[in-house]
Amino acid sequence: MSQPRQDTDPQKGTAAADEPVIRLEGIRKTFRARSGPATVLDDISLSVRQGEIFGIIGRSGAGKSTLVRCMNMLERPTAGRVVVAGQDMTALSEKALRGARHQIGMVFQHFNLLSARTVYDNVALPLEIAGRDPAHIRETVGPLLEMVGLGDKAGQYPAQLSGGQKQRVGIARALANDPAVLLCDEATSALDPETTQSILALLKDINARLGLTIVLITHEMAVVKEIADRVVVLDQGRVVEEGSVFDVFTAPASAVARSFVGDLLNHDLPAPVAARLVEAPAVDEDGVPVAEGANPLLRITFTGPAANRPILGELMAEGLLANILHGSIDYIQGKPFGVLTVEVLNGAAAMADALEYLHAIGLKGEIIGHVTADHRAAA
Amino acid sequence: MSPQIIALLLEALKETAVMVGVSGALAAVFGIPLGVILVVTDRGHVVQNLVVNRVLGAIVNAARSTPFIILMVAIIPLTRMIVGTSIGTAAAIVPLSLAAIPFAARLVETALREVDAGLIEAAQSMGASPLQIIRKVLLPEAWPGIVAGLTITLVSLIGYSAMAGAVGGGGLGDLGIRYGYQRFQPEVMIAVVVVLIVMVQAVQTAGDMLARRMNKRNLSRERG
Ligand SMILES: Nc1ncnc2c1ncn2[C@@H]1O[C@H](COP(=O)(O)OP(=O)(O)O)[C@@H](O)[C@H]1O
Ligand SMILES: [Mg+2]
Repeated sequence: MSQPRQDTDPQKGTAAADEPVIRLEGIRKTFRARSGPATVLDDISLSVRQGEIFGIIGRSGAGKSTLVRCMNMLERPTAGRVVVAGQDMTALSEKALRGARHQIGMVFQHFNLLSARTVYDNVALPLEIAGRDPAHIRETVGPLLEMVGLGDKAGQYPAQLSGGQKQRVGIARALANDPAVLLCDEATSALDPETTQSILALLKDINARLGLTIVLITHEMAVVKEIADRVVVLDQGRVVEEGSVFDVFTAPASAVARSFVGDLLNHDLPAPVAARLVEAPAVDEDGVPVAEGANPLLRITFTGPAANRPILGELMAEGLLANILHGSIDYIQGKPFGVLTVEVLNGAAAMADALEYLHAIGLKGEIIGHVTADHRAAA
Repeated sequence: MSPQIIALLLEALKETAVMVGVSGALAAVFGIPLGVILVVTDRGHVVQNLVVNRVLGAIVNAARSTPFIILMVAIIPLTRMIVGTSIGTAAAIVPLSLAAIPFAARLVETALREVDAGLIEAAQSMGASPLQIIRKVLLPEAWPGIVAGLTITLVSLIGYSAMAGAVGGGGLGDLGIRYGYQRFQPEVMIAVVVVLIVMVQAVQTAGDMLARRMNKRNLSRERG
């Protein structure tokens, strides 16, 4: 795991260790389409720090692939600067750029392995391209294949491998020139969930063992949540949200981020509960319902230090009578994050007390609706 | 069949083999690079150069749309310049090669275009130069297709060579016309056709086998 670090102004970073591995400044990319120019990336600035796993998430067409291709200049930005490992990529000649690319490994959704080369020779390819001598290639390829768990597949051809194995070859190949950063564009999107897990575990292991910085492009929040430290949310070519995975996950600020989180954490009420929802009854000046026959639904969101407290027990001791309807708990970057929905059975005063108590200990409590109180009689 | 006819047949077979072999080799030597240039200079490719691309494309199309018999006659001055005569096996090689090169180039081009753009992108991400992309990615990945294309070229050359033979180029076509048609010995004609069929079959089978051996795309997984 990377060390948590303070946000530092990238401009004033004097020590080399503070210099981000990748710094994008005001990146804009416009494609000339038949329908006129299309701005695919719009003023994107971000920094990827040394040793972190940096997630970039967005819906299909958001501009993720274009953005990651700007990082190694497979796509030349229309405006802005790309600095990788201290080198201004936008200022390099084609030849110098090719040299600079040796320190940027790239992993692809569809693996992009050469069908005519064995596993061994696929991993050797970037070394051949970089002009390394045969002895160095021999010393490098074997251990890399061992590291990705394919030590026994060296002589096989890609067609003889499963999807997960192919991606392991893709990862070994991307690591061959000992890069400063690994770019993964939807590296797990063509894989089944189980294989996805194993590839993510491999990436996390590489990050931990080699301290290698990884940029992870994905349209799946589960992937970001699994291994990323920080994330930016990309929408229509703009960064709409940026922060630690935990923060973006537990308190998404943008609509796009909220929908991504919603994909993963089932905050929605189960159907039988939803069927009992009623129009909000009349409320008093504190927002507490006064009507009879409808019980408020209280949703408690657990984050931070208070997440480990026996909240429900404490609320019960405070006099709350509650019926648990729905709950889930998740661990993000090792920190618990949970949501619990209860139906409050003993009226407005108890409800107000409970909200006050939650507020006092720093947890979020909110009334998300009301359900008919007489459901047991009805059922 | 008389021993003389068999001797004539063997002699004609040798001439045809030389005509097809030499012009086939020239078609490969010039057609492969030409095919590569047609691909890599195209829009969005590794060394885009639309002027070169369109000019070469037009020349290739012109050569390919000229009927072989007309091409053969039209380039007689060139043939004389190169081999000193316009008659005989060596002279036939000039128009045969000239017809086969653009033909092979288009087939090579098709094979190269089949190579997944993702592989080129991967090589570019590794910092490969255009020449490295051609040598390490495009050609190796396209070999099975190129071999299939060259096989088709050879088969076509066998047919063209018979045509060239008929107008004084020697070889099986010449033999068939002179003995089978002009001297009315139908058994010679039949023998010529049979030999040609066997030749085409042999070339096609060998080419198919080679292409299949080179193709590592459809290897079966060992287990699961
Ligand atoms: N070479 C190109 N020419 C024109 N438009 C492009 C090109 N590459 C990408 N685009 C457009 O840019 C947008 C973003 O594409 P992309 O970066 O691939 O998105 P993502 O990877 O997030 O799905 C899409 O609308 C796509 O059509
Ligand atoms: Mg994409």
